[in-house]
Amino acid sequence: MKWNKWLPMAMVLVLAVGVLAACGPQRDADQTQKEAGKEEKPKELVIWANKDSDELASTKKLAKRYQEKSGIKVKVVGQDMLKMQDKLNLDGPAGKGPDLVTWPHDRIGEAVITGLIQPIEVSQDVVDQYSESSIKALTYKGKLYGLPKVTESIALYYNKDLIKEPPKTWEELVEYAKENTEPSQKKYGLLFEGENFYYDYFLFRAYGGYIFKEENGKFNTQKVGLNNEGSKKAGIEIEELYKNKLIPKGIKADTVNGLFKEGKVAMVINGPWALSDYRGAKVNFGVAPLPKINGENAQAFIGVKGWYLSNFSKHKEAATELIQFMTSKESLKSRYQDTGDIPPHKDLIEDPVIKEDPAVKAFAEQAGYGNPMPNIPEMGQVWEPINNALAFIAQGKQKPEKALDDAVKLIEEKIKAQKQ
Amino acid sequence: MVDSQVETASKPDRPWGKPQIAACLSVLSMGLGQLYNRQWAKGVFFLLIQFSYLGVFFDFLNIGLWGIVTLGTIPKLDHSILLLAQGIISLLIIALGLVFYFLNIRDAYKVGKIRERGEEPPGIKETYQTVTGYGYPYLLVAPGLFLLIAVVVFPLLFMIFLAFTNYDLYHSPPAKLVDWVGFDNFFNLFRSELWQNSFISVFQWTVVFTLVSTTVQFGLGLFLAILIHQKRVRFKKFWRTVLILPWAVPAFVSILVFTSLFDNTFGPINAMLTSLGLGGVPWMTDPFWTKIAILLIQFWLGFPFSMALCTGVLQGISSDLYEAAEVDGATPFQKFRSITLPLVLYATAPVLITQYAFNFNNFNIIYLFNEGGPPIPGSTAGGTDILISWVYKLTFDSFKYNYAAAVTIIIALVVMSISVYQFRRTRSFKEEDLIQ
Amino acid sequence: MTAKWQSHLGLIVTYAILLFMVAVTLYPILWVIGSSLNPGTSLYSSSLIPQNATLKHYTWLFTSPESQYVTWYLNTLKIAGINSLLSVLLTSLTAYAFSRYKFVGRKYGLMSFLVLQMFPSIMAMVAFYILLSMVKLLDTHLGLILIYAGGQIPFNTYLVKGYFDSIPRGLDEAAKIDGAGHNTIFFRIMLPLAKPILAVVALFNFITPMTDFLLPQIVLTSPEKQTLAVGLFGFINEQFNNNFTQFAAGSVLVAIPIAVVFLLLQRYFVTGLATGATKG
Repeated sequence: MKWNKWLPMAMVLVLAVGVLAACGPQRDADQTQKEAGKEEKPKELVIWANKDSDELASTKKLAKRYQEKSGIKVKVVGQDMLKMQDKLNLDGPAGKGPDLVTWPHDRIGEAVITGLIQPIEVSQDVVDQYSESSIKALTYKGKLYGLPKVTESIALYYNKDLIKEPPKTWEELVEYAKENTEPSQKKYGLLFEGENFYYDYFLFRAYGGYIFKEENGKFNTQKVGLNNEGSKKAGIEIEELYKNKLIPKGIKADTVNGLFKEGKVAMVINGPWALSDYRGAKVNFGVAPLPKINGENAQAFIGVKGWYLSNFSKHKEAATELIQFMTSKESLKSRYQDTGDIPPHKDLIEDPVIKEDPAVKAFAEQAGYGNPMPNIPEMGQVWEPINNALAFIAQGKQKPEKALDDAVKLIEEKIKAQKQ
Repeated sequence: MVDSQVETASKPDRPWGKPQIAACLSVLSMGLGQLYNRQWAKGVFFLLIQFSYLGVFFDFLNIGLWGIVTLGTIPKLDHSILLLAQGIISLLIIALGLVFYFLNIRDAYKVGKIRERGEEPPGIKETYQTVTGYGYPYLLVAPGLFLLIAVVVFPLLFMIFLAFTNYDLYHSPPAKLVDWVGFDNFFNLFRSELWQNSFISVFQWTVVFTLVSTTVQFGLGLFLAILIHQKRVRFKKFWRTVLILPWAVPAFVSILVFTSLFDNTFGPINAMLTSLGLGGVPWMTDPFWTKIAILLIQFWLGFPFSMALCTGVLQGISSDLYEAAEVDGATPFQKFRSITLPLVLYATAPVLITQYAFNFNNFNIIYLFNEGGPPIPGSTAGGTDILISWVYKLTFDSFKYNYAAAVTIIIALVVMSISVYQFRRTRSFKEEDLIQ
Repeated sequence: MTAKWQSHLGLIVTYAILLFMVAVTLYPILWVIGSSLNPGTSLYSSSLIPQNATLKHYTWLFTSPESQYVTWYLNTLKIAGINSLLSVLLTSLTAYAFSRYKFVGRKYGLMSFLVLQMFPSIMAMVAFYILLSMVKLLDTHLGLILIYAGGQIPFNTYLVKGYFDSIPRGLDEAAKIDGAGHNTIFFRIMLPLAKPILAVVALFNFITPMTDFLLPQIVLTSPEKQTLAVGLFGFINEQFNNNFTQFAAGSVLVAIPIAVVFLLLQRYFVTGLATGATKG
């Protein structure tokens, strides 16, 4: 008889069940709806700013000014911009989060879906101060989640020693490139990362291509337009560039920059991030907006960064005011002077500080024509297939029509899987 | 159960012995059985341990167990992922508590037995000596084990649990709660076209990459070790020093440098081939050549370790064996076949197995060299994607953490079972236990 | 006559192969050094022997106010040093138990963990982030060190145990008879005798923090706490602003100390590693 050995075990079981049944937190069901009534003036607001040293210094300077003006202390914490969401996800609910956050606008969709940021309430006058495209970038499903501080777009850099004036139209530009390209001597008329959709987008737009169909200010992710008539035309245009050996296959930004700095390339398409590098190389260059294509201004991608209101902010109103201060004309001007970031503020584009710098003016002008990258998470499913398709086109592995059809099919599948 | 208790309790000829009473008391609360056994200090100590355990952990375990079952009930307030983590930690803490709890019951029972035989239970001093003597290895292992549980077991459990949830972008805290979904992820994976379309080719390349890279890097290492080990070769130290250098350079630096060396248009390797009149090779854009490049790089990265290892083994092989073979007129190749190779393989098998497993999941080289590319028309995987990099692409880009976890488990099960099978064939398991 | 020729030929072939391997080994390394001396910023213009060699990238690393290289270097040395010591301690304790004592889990414990670690580690990153955040060790060097020190235990314990096994048991038994306790045997006899393998373990764990660029990105969020590998990786990984020549200069300065330590410990290395790995 082994019963006496099993008896203690049985008692353990009974105890365990008893303990487990009583588990769980005790809390009031309406604990969540505690916040009501008027918000008090906070003692301190917290900003998570990008860790980049110039940017951080500029933000701190502005924060100090606001403190003097309003009497509210503003604490600025440097963070890696791309990791802010992960950190906010844990710190926010724990009550350690900031009031304001920032990251590239194309990640706004994710942040809204996971509940990290909330819409802001500002008057239409405030909104109207900024370029339309930058406001659109910060709007998700019809609601505005912050105000913009920087906008970025690509433009045309040209080597003044090789070409005095950049061509006025894309067609002329391609003609010029055909006449002035000699791959064997590493001499090129026009170079850019042609296998990267980011740089090719303006071609798609020029002929009527689009990523997602826009309906009532929202993207319809069921309707992908990257294989419509216009897109295919753009595909053929890109194919031509490679077929005629105007651009070498598989070229990356590093090589583009290297050749341009050596003075071997008449024109490159690149963003403001290349400015300091090119200046350092002592190339005699100018910057112009992209040439007109198909008779219209080129609509390239623009990227926007703004200040957004954290969903965990306990001082919604005060934080919204801080956002307005941080993106006011004066603040953005001071920021431009410290960091060179191009402000999307309408008044500032006409301001002498910006107007007098031709490079910045070109970027600002080009940004005005641009389309913000879609800020919905489905965009994440677009990049790889479309970039692959562009690589196939460039390398002659697939015809544009087939490549783009395949890419769209894959994009649709991936979006479906993401929501599964 | 209750019936049998009543029944047996009524039998006078089967009285409750001291061991049973002590054990049952210990079940009710740690230390009671020891007190009953008249081990006062031990009993009080156990009681204290139990109460401090409960005092410290009660709230944590309370929320943790509730959390892992429900994953939260109110969105925004409950963070499902944190609750899951807390739940797993609770389970680990409870497991630890149970170990002590059962040791306590067993101790009460055993000491009860001693008392039943009419002997004195061990006193404080004897107990202390048993613990420090018998328990010494446990004390040695404890800190390491604790860290291992945190660093290896916890993440493993976390991933396993995640595979049974719907944790993705649209079910993500703090906005939403995560729910348990059973085996749905596994079923959906097999149904999804995205996964079916390239699985076979990715799997084949993964296997080829694993086998070829590991075998060749080991073979090359062994070969070089043997070359340098020859008596007549001079400057041994120089050769060994230089050839070990790839190991000393951070791997990610080397891989990124190779990326530029293999550049199609401007890389020096193609420049060299062109000047030799061979023409450039599409290293980065042709899947076949990218695979070759990746294998070559992995050989470069991997051979020094094997060389160092084999050098040591070779130095340990007695020269008598070779002399005997020479007397028998063996050729160098025969000596290698029947003496060197078996001895080296025998000695290094377990390390070799871990190297195979490592390369099977060698995400870094694939990702850093060409991000799994070049792309292949009509495939979700790039030309050089191995399973792990492919999974990463398909899941992390789209925030499908649940799928990522599910696929990882499948991959891990395959690798682990093969490794266990291989390990069991090595001598580590066959060895007689030499410790008394 | 023919045999002698054959033997000579063999030797020539041997040297030829070795020279070829040396060239293959050194070429990429020299190339990095060449790049680091190149005046430009991009890989494209880099070459083995730069035309206008300059040390400006090295001076930039140390003197530019924008450069955090010195901070990273100190952080990394600190993490690597502590990790190395802690790992040697933990590993040798565990290995001692596995080599000399009988206890529950001795037979399968080590192998089980070796196998469990084959679980792809990139997937563990999410778990590390949450765990460290719960115990408030996120963004601390301690948190990083604990993960390194924990993760290295199984493999290195395997090596050290193998080495301990090769130390004659008679030695510690004799000491026991002389009245030495467990601790005395461990610290006075086992550790000094196991110096070669402990050097190997110390080296392994010194290198890991210097070369790992994945885990610190997850654990450390403040830029001033970052490690070298992550910082260097940033030089070339910034999407729009990569600077290969600075990266090369930074890498050379990382590789040099590792290589020197490596070469200094080389004599321990071969014997320690071989004994450890093969007697396990």
